[in-house]
Amino acid sequence: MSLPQDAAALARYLREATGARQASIRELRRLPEGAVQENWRVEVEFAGGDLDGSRSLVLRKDAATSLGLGLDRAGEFQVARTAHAAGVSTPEPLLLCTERTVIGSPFFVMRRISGEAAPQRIVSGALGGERTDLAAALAREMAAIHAVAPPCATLACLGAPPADAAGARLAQCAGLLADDPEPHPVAEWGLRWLDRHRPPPAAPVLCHGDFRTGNFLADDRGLTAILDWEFAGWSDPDEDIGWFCLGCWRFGAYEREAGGIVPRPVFIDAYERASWRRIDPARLRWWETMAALRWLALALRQRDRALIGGELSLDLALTGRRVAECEFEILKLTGAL
Amino acid sequence: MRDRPDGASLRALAEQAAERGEAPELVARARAIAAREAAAGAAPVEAIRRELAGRWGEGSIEELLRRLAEAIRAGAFDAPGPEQRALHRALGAITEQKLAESNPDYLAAARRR
Repeated sequence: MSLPQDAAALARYLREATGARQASIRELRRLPEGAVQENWRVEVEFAGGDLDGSRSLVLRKDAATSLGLGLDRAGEFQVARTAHAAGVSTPEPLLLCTERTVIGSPFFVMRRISGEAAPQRIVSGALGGERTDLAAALAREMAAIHAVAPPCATLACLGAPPADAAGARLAQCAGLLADDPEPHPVAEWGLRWLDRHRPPPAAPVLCHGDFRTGNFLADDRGLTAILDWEFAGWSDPDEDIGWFCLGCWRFGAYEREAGGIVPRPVFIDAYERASWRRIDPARLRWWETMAALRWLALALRQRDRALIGGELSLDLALTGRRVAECEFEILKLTGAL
Repeated sequence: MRDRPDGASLRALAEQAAERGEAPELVARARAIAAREAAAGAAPVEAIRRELAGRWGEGSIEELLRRLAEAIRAGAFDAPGPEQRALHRALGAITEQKLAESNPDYLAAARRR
């Protein structure tokens, strides 16, 4: 988004889409969250219409280059609406614009919720309040997401639920790795181990797909919102738990296995209470290994957005050097270390 | 064996990012990886290459890793035993060397567990 031309076009769009007499943008600035998509804070003064008054909004749009994976903005908007309606604490999605003519790419607009996503501040305890309370709140949110099951009329964008979510994810990651020209023996070992230890299929539910520290907002009292639905899909609920617990998402607090926040049993206990579902450690280990392999494959993609796609981002380029973290986790989880 | 972007590329990317005003901690991280890689030099990669070659035949490190990846995919290391243990040792050595250069804090924390 370039300013100020896009701001004027956006103000026009907001006025028309909400039926306001006038919409004046008071502030428009990019938020630090989001390596895959761009998030912009938009402070708007509406005169009349659906959002009459001063509104604090967030606009989410495609970044300059994409991973070529996950939902488009229309799909993400639908999932966020469904989750919000199901009682998940997530910013209320308000408007979807699939036209490229307004700001150059599709986007959606949601209400802004206060809080910060900064992972280091979360794991250090500076944000999020009491750790066990934060973990319990996250467990309740995750269970609320997993309570959404197919068929679901508002989630046609997710396609048909897979008969075998584990097999489907494994095949997707094998495909991503096959696209990379370099050899990855640890990833091959992971693929092979996962294939030989595949768990029996579970009934698919709505999964967030990127539920981790860094993808939720918290203030000094506790959790305020779950963010970023672009990797949502029908899957095995253990996939979200495995991803959340992966070593790569503990941000320096490696010993607190649940997101760098609390020891794993504390989170599992809270999730079991909230979901009325027992977690099988063997299945969770499988999904955590899958998470390591999936993050490895996605990290290679993200790196290539900078090295091949030409996106000017050191953050993305550095993602290539996080592959070794995933490899370490694969070896540890499969008993090879 | 080392993951891309390599140290030299990272250093160049870090300087460009510093000029663009990107986050100083990212610039510092990229420079630190480049410095650790430069300090380690070619010796650790050659040591691992020799280790692999001693067991699975001669070749460059890339050739050896490719052969290893193909053999794993074909199921050559599925059965527990000396071959699988040797594979695990080799993969562990490669990964720990890479992690020592890319993120030594992670390696130290993970080893404590």
